[in-house]
Amino acid sequence: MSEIVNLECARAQGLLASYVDGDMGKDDSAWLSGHLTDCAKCREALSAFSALDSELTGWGRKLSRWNPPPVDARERLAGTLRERATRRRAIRWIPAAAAAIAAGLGILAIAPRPSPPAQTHEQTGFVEIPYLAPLDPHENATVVRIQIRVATLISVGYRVTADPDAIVPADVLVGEDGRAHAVRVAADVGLDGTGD
Amino acid sequence: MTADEGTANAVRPATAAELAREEALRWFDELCDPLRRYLLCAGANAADADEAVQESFLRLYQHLEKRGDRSNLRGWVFQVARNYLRDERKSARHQKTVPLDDAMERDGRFADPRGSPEHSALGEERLRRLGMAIDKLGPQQRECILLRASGLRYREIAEVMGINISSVGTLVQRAVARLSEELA
Repeated sequence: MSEIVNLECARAQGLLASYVDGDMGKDDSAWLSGHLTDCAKCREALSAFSALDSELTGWGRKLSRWNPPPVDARERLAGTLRERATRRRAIRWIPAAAAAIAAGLGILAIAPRPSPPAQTHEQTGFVEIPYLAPLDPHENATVVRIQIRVATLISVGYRVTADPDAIVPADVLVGEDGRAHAVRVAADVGLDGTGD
Repeated sequence: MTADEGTANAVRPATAAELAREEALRWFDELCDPLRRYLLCAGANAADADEAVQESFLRLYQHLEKRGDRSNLRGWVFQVARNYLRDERKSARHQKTVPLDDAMERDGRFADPRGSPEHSALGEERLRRLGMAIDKLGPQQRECILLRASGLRYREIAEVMGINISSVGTLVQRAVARLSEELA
């Protein structure tokens, strides 16, 4: 008999939590009311439970009152979440941007450079002035027709078979920098740009 | 394109980040107070409790955005806050050793920083004894009691702890019996 009572008391005391919250089902509630009517020990347990339960919940409420939360706690959280989302969007763009830049550089690296323009008719037969950097094939050059003394051609490094005192017509190839880069003369002048 | 398709395209669906943000803020509205009380009752000072609350909901946002397990988010938040507080305390201990009396003086569970009239010396002594008695409980009983002090209902405590409500009832009843003895 006492084992049954103990089991019933154990069941009753396990229900006290739901009882104080009013969260019990109808059946459990009816059973517990009946048991409490008959069992002084459980009535005492309920009384102690309720008192300490009130003290506990009151304790939490008091601490919260004594240490009120910052008024802007929610705004602070919302702001941080917004920042994170923005940063995440930015971070998400970084690989895409990096990939785009890398792809662009790759394209530049593998893309065929524009081929040097085909030599124009005027350029044909030009002999580069010795010891000068050759003209870039992409450079816009100008051809200037002049009369030049053969000795002048010799003085800039050409080997010439014609009479140094002779004056011959010559086409001078002038680069974008305004400097002469090559000279074209008639074949009988015997111009050779290999220098000395 | 049909008219329906046009309308669907015009209303841009919320991104995962936006949905996670809204949901994290909803949970904040629901759990901020009890979580903060729980931390204060567990011995955090107000500044630490506020930091732990912020951090917990930031982590909740990340968890939601990554589509983490949603089976017990309420319990998840309390767990994160508890771990955060524990880690902060460990870190603080590494930085500085606090004399016991000083630590007790700063313990939020016993002190009314504003010295309100309701906070009598008698009340303070009672709360101090209650806090110390709670510290002597086993981990599960202590957790139940702290969650109750935070204002959660017992069925919510069962959810947070991942146990059934009758187990909570038994744990609390035993804890209350022990506390009654300690405080008698």
